[in-house]
Amino acid sequence: MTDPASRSRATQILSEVEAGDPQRADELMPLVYDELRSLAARYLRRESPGHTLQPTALVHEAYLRLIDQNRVEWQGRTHFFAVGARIMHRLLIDHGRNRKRAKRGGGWMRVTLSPDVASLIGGEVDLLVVHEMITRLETLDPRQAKLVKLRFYGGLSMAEIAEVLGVSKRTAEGDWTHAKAWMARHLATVAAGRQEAKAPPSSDS
Amino acid sequence: MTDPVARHERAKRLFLDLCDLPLAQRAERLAALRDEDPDLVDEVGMLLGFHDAEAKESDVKSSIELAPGTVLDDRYRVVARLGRGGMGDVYRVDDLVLGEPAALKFLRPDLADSGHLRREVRVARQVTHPNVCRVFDVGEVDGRPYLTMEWVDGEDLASLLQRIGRLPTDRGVALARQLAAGLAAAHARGVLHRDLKPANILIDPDGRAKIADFGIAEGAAGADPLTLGAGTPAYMAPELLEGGAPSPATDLYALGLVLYESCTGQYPFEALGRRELARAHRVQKPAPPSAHVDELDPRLERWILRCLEKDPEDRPASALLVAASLPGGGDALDLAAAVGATPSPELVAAAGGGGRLDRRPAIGLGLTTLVLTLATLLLAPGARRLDDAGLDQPPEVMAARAGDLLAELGWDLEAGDRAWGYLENPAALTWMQDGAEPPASNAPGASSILFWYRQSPVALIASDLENLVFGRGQVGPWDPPVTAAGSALLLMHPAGWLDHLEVRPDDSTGPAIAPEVVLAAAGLDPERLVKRPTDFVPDTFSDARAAWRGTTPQRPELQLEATVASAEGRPVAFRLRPAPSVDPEAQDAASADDLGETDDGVEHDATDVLWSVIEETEEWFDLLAIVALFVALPLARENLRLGRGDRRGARRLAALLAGASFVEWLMSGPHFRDVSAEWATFHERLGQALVEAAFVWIFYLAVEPAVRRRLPHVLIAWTRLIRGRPRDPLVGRGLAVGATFGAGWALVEQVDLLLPRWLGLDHWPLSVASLQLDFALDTGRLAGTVVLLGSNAVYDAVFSLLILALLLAVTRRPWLAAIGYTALFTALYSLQGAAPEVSWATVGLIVAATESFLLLRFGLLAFAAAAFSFSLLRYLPLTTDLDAWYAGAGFLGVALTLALGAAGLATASFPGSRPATTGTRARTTSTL
Repeated sequence: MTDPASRSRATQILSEVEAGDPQRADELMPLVYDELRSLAARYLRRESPGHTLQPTALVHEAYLRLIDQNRVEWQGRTHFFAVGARIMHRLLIDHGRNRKRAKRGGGWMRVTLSPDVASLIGGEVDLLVVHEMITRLETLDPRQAKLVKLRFYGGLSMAEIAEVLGVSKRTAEGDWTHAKAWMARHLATVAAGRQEAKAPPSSDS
Repeated sequence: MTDPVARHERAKRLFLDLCDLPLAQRAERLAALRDEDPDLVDEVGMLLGFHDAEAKESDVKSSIELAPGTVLDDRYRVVARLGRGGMGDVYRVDDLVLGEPAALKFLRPDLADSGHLRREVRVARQVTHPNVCRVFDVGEVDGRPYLTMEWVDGEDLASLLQRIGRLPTDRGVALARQLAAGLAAAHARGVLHRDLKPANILIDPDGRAKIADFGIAEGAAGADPLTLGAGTPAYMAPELLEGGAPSPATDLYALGLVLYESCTGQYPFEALGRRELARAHRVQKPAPPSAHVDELDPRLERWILRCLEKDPEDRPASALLVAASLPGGGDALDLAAAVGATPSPELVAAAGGGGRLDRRPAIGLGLTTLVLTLATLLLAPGARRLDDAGLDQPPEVMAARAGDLLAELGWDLEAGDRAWGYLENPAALTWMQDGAEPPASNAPGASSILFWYRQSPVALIASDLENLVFGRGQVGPWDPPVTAAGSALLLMHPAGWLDHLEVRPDDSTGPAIAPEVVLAAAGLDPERLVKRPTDFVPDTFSDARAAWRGTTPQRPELQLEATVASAEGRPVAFRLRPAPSVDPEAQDAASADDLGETDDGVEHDATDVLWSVIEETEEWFDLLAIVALFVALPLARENLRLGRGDRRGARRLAALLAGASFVEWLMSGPHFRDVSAEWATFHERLGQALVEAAFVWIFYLAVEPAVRRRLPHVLIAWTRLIRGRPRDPLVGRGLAVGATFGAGWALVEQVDLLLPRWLGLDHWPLSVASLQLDFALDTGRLAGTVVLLGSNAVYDAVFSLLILALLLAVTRRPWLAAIGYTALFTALYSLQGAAPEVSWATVGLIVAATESFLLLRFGLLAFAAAAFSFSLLRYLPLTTDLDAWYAGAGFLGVALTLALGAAGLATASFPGSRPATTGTRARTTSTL
């Protein structure tokens, strides 16, 4: 079970974030990181290899474990999910790299991302490809990349994402529509590049 | 060249500008820009292409998939998709309002319109049982109906079986019990599952099974699976495949298959394809599960095979029965209470222990009954005073004496019909109440009991409507009214003196009779009397009236007034009663107002008030009965429709009570020599018996199921007896215990009559002496009375149980209901006691408290037996005077009470040849 001390601390931080101190959200990082790591590890032990991992479910579970929901409002929850999404992204990347490097048995074979993304990239994807894609997008439009991470790993709704990014919901939705098309094209290019055993053509050259 | 970030931004803006435009306009805009920035146009063109493709696909997909984090209906945040059910996706969601996880299932859109879903869910929501996955709510998002239900963190049975093959034996039994209990809980609410299969059964981390999707599975109902392809036919009962309606029996069939599969790891039928499978359900007999597995519990195997019977009639009567009969199921009735089900009469009869009594408690019980009965018998003469009433002459002799008296008084009337009986002397009762010396049997006008005699040239047929319907139609002193010419009514002191006379002269003539002759016939000495005028007006013509006042040597302190009215020289009316005041002179001066101020008058007023209250109460009871009938009718109908009513029990009880009513008439009459009168009475009484049967049937069907649900233990022995098991030890125990309690109540009632006298309290000697004597008039009346008392005891018991059940429905706790019952009946019974100072405790508290105890602890049958033996001892004339003409009747009451106890003890101690437990078990399985 989650350590009560971290639980009360996490709730405290989130209340302060809510009270108008968004910087403090970063202080959640270590707590959420530990929680998510242990959750993911437990998930691995429990689930049979055939199962896919749903990052959003893990973040949500971490939230339920870490935060006393009576004391936190909607905004606080959004901030938590934003932090959780970033950590989940890191965890997945690390895990994917480790697996590639060491091939130590077991591990997440597949990851189900947000279903509306999954539909455009064909269900389950290789984590590293996703990571490269997001890194690429980060260089072009950091805000869009952040949005994609929130959507992929945090399972946040558009309204919540808009809140985290500090933009209007309309803007966030526009960013997302465009990002989806961009990612679809990016992945199509990557796939085409692989098939032809060539280096992926750069879209902006 | 250009900055990639800026390019990305431009492309994004243009893309967003264009993506919602129609294709033609997009092409126009892009064409306009092509010359200016061809790379940008290419880029945006490709993005738009991907966007369109994605949008098209997500249109299809978004109708069945929701992103985690999506909040539905402002209430449910999607956490993850759990899977795709046959009817739609299932999500794990968090209920943001209650802060709890839940499962949310989308249903087929066409279900939303039907209203059927809402109705089903409304009912299914009421099912709360640990083995049923609870349904919370229904709602709709974008026209797609959804259902939320309890989130079970576990695995479904289908995937569990896939993983581990089959369940170990003990787990199999536990699963069977849990699933059957869950089904029973739902069936109790009228909810059918309709699509029970391993995929719908969830096993939580504690290993507890929960049945999901109750009542919402459609498609099974009336659909032909071969053509419509609704649902999987793998778990469909044969009658469903033939287009039959779903029923508890179809759920049980599915249960049998699920259990078969869980315990053996095999599906019982080898079939390929739907058509072959459907055929297998109809004709193929499944191999016994033990053919696949060695160590299967034999009881479980038997139930599985019973569930898999092709004919629904051959399957177990209820899921409850399966749950209760499996090893480790515990008490069947407790289980029924736990699932909120009404146990079937069969289950009730099968429940409970054998009730067999060991020798020691049996002897103790028998001795107690004997002692209580003998004590009642020994106290009876003192309490009831029958023996000091001077009833030395048997009624036939008294009747002959009455005829002689008439002749002495100059009347030679044709006695075409005669009738007689006994009644209380109200005047004497009043003296007793005032604490005066008890009426003396040797003094005229001072007997507590009077003999009445009627004769008439035409048949005497009771005509009072209430008497006809509720009073068994016996002729009474004033029913029919004394009107026919040539008829006469005499009331006589048990010593043979005239107390009251009414004659309706016919056209005969006779010698003139001096009033002194009448006074002498009344046992009065004219020497001790003073003649005075009277304003007495008899009911018939008279031309001379006179009154005499005086005393008798036997009771010199008692001032009597005798009044004689004559017509043409012969007496047509006589009455004898206490003079209103002791001093005749004072009485002359006294006005009617003074009368009211004497203690005597006040007491009279008080009893008048009491009687008017009782009469009014009776009217209310009648009204209540009429209202109750109208309430009971639809209830009975509903219980019949739902199969809850105990048809067999209702039929038998109705037949029994109607039969008793009719037999009572056959034995005690009235019967007539006149064929037409007899034929008419036969019709009337047969009709009355049939009406009684109908009422009993309706009320039993209406009320018994509710009682069976709330207080099933109370009905065990009763149900066994009514279902034809008189030799059951539990029935015997009920009868034996009942006899003991009944004798105890009779003793308490005697004490209630005696205590005020011992303590010197004012008391109302309410007596049923005349009733007791009437019952003993002749053998026929006596036999009929015993039958009547028996059926009244049953009515009494059922009525008491009904009150207790009503109280239980209000208070929800048996002990509270018992307290309420005790309080209510203490109040009611106290009114009927001899003196309020003691009666509240004796016939009030003690009787009421033991009644509720007896009902709750030993049940309805014991109560009925107690009421029967109590009324035997109360309404038959108990006496220790062996020479009394009514002694036989009294001893019959004692003998029957002891016989009831003895028969009960014999049955409880030496039941039929089979040992009790195996007998019960065998019946459980064979009759259901």
